[in-house]
Amino acid sequence: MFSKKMMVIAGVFGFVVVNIIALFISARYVSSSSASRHMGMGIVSPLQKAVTVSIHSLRSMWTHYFFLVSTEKENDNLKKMLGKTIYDVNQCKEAELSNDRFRKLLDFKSASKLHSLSAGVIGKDPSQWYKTLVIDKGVSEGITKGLPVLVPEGIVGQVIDASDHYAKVLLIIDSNSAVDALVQQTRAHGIIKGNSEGRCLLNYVSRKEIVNIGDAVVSSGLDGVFAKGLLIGKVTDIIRNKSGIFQDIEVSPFVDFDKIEEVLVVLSPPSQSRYR
Amino acid sequence: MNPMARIGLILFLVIFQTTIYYAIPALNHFVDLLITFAIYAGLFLPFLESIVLILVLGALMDSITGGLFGLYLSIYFWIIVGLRPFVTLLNLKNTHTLWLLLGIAIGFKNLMLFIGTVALKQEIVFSSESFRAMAYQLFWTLALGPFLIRLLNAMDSHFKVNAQSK
Repeated sequence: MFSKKMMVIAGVFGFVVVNIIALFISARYVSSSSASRHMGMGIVSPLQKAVTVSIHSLRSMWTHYFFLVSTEKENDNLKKMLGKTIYDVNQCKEAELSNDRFRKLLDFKSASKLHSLSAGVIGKDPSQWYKTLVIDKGVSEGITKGLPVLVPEGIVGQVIDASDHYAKVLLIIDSNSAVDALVQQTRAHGIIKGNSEGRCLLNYVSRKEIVNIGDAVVSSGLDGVFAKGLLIGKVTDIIRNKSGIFQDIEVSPFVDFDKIEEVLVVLSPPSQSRYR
Repeated sequence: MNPMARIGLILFLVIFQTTIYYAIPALNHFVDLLITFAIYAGLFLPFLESIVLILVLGALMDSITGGLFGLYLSIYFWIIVGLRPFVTLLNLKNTHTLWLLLGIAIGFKNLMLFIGTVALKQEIVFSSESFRAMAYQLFWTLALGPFLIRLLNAMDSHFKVNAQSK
């Protein structure tokens, strides 16, 4: 009744329909962790870690023993100190702005220290459409989905999936990412979203707000993920359309996402950090 | 090459593309090794074996990517399934046309990844940076892909001859 050719075409069409339905079901449940994802990570990630450690060792051997031995060591130490200093300076700036606003208060207010865990970056998403990293810490080290990830220069992203010993981090430059933020100087409020250019856009900022190129953008703490005052980036462009109530602000992140080797995962979310 | 060796090769290519490329900035958006392997598997390996290998490859890639689970699996599956009919239909059995097949496969992969981002309701921004990255990867895959496919085929023939002589 039906020729072989018709059967093949019908079969292929059926496969295509099933494939599309499966992908849309996967899109609907994308936030759920699955055993198959963790199994794949469990196979690939240990090898990624072994290769990353080897590359870092070779690089370290080259830079520390064959090329400007003492200068390189001094440079490494200075870079670590600089990272800590940048973080300290930003904390002081936030404290100064808070004091100006709340100078009538009598109580002393201090932020509790962040309880964090350092992790090494062992892999990266291979396509330019998704911006994720794989780190070498997982559930057994206390990492769970939703935890913020930082470096001294600023916010890196958020944990979106964690297996026993490895986790996946969604970067703030990914289109799926959203961070509640504000402009440090003027306190203009918006939402930071990633774009495919490796930069961010600060959306939903009212047109009445004054924002200047070069202003720093920090986390507002209102999303319950990132603590208040963490660095995100600086304003590089302001887009005001002729109509509409918002202005779009292009933000260049402080973090160089192509060169991250180690990150800090914050194990105590801001809701658990209390002001005294 | 026995099936376990081929799975070991797949693991090696996945690690190379996701870890070594990241560690060496000059290799960002270099040859797409996995698409190259998919083309090799589709053209030179038995159909069932290539399907199994590609399902393993797709599952591994889906587990470490930030996109939809099943997207890479779909991409590699349809490359394998569609490759031989496409080659037969257009009479592309000459190995000099490998570059054409690689180019079409890269285009198909980027189209599917684009559809995946739409399905996740992400905001799509086409930028010069994205096009530059895709063009860079396409150039190197077209330039080096055919040599890699021939190298894989030569390795396969070498192992087959050794196995037969034993």
